[in-house]
Amino acid sequence: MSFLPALNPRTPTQALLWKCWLRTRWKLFFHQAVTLIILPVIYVRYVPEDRTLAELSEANVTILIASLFILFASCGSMMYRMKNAWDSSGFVLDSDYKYPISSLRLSLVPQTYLVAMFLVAYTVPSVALHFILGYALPHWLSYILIAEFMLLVMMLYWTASDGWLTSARWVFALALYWGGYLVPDITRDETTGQIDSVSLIQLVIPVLICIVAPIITTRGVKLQRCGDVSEKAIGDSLLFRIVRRIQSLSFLKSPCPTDSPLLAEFWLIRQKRGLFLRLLTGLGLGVLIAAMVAGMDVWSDSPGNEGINLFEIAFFAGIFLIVVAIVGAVTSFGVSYIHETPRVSVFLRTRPLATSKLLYTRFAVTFAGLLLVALGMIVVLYGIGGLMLNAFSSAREEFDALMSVFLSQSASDIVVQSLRTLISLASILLVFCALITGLLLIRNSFLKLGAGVVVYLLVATVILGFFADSIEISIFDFLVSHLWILVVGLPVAVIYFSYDLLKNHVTSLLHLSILFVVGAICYWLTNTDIELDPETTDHLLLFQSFDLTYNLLPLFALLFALWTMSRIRHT
Amino acid sequence: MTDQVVRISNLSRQFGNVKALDNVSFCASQGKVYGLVGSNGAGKTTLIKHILGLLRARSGDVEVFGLNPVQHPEQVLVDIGYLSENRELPDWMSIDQLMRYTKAFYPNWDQSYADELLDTFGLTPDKKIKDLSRGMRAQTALIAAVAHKPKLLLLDEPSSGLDAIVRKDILNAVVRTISEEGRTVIFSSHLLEEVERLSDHVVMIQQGHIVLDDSLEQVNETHHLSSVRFDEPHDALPAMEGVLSSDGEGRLWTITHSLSAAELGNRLAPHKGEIIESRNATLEEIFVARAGRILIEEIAA
Repeated sequence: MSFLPALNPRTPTQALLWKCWLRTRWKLFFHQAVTLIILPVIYVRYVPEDRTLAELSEANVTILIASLFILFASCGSMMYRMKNAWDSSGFVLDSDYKYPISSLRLSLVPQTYLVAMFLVAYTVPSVALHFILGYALPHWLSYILIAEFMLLVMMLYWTASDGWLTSARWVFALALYWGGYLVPDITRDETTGQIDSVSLIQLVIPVLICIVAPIITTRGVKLQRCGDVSEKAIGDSLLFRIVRRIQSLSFLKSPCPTDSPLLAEFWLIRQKRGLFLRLLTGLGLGVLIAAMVAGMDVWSDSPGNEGINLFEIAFFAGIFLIVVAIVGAVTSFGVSYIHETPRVSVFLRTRPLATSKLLYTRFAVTFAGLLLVALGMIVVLYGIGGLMLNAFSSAREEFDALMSVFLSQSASDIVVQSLRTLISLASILLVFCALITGLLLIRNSFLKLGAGVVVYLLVATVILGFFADSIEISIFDFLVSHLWILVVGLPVAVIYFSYDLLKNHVTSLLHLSILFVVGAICYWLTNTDIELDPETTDHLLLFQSFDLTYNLLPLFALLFALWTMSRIRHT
Repeated sequence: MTDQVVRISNLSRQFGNVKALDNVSFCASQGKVYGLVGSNGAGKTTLIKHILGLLRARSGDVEVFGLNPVQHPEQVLVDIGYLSENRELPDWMSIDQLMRYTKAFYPNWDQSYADELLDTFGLTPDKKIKDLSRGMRAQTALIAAVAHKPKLLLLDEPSSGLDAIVRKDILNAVVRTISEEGRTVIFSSHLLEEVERLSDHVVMIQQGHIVLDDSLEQVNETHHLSSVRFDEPHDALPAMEGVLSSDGEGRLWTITHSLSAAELGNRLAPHKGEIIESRNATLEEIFVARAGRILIEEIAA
């Protein structure tokens, strides 16, 4: 579908630009539509009026930059190759090597296009918001930093090299960012929020990167084009070789049980995502988080004064856990990338196992693995706090205090609360991953509508989160005014999925009844039982309705995941 | 020689411990159809990739139209049409978008020829490539490869995995292209009857070595399948130069060889053997005989 007239590129350069445009235009339009329509509405409707223009402008720049990251992620297929899952690097337009075009042009045209696209994506809403709400216009420095980031990332993704060199390049680039070498010090005008002065000497490295990165990328493309560098470099790096070696350790290997298909499936998924390996991943990530947080502490203005707090650690741990969870859970639905397209293998789809058994087995291993990752992180960070670094001791004390509060409860309360937490975590993870997987593979308007609502709520909540002082009231108001979506949506979705699963013979009435019983137990366990004072709550009925329906989440998660898995298998 | 389109000399290529090409030399002349045959992993695709410049010659030389394809990709590739084994096409494009995109790279693109082929194959231009069947993908890729009337057409397993009707369509298109005066085709295939039907010249490649490089006519004339009978039973066929393979037991044996009837008769005489029946060997029989011989030599080594 295209609302634009069909173009006839006449030269190789035009053809490459056209191809890049075809691949990114809808993402760009969507980004522009969101930033041009939703941002002003949210700013006007929810942002407290007592904020200064400088504060608003600064927050707006942050939001727009964050939106560029979302645009960047959505343009993934233009940035990195997804031929062999996540571990392949190399030039993204490698299928164009066969065309009569020089490597220089083949490399520079998409680089120029992508940089220009991101600059446009940043400029248009900035200028629009300047005219609508008077926010500061974009500063030239922003353009240099966006170009620097894009060219650097393209260099990292598009130039493959043998072995550990690729990983080393990534680590080096991250260290440069982390150390602040790639972003100069900026001071802003207190009344307008506009960038006031920039340390010009600190601009040398960003400008240098803008010049050198395309040259390195072009050289890399040239080498790949004639087969001098393999494109699967990250996969061959030292780290992954170590991981593979651990995976192949004989004591971790067990023979596949042949007497039960369920046990065989359990064995298969453990071979692919072994639990021991997950524990090691957690330990490794724990060390990484410790290094990052400690590095941040050292680079901060007053290192070590107050020590590292638990929130800082939890923040990074949370990010890593979310990434591990998404990757693990999406793959537990059997999704992989082949030739830039998400697919599920026929091997999985034709496995002689009921969809429910397939899902439960795979998800159980994934969830257990995730808990082991978390455990590994806690062990390392707690150990470091106690033994190695004084800066971590305050975080350890905070953790101890939290644990003592938790353990001071009665045994039954501890068990119920632990179960409640696990059920909630598993439910959220299951919903989230079924949604992502479904969106990748299933064309269903019900699903798209649900995803649209989730994205809208998330984006709005994150945006409101940028406006500090009154945020609790603003976010609260916003969420309360949208609570009816959950109140109505969850029961409707439970009925729809139950009906659909029964109609398509994915599940039997007996199995569905068991699910409802399990759902009822989870309902009882996770019951939040909100105590509301009718005199102080304006939305009493809404809250009471929400209290009733929210606890349907575990049942909804199970049904939704089953529905997704069945669609993947049978459509 | 001016009519040499491809000239490869002493080309070797190694991937890890595997020698994909070992001191290969090969020339392709203008206006001929070359059939490249060999078993899986023999080195056919590696050879084609060197011709395209997708692999740099680390040892030896590759020249296409008198130029190094790695150094001069624009000049060389503009006259080459390439159909890859995996039919790597952008799934997200429609057929029409792919044609427009490809056209921009080739000044000699013949739109009427592309339209005619689209019509012949019954392809709808608006259709997305991801929605095409395997046969339709192959047809689309072929149109993109031939519509600029390349001087050199490289087809890597053009008919693998296709049904007989699509195969016929593809071959007709190829025949049409090569019928244009002075165009060269190099195609690899597992289907030896297809190679036999289309090729002027056969290049047999096995484990990185070219084991046969001759005109089809010459290959047919020099390779025979003969039934022989010995006076005494033999556990194994007596060693004879020129015999490529043998099958049988006791007194009766069937042998594939590159000898004339008189030469074979002379070699059989000391062993008290005689020719019962003889005919020209098919390409498949020659291939099996030569591939088996290489395998036996490898095992012996």
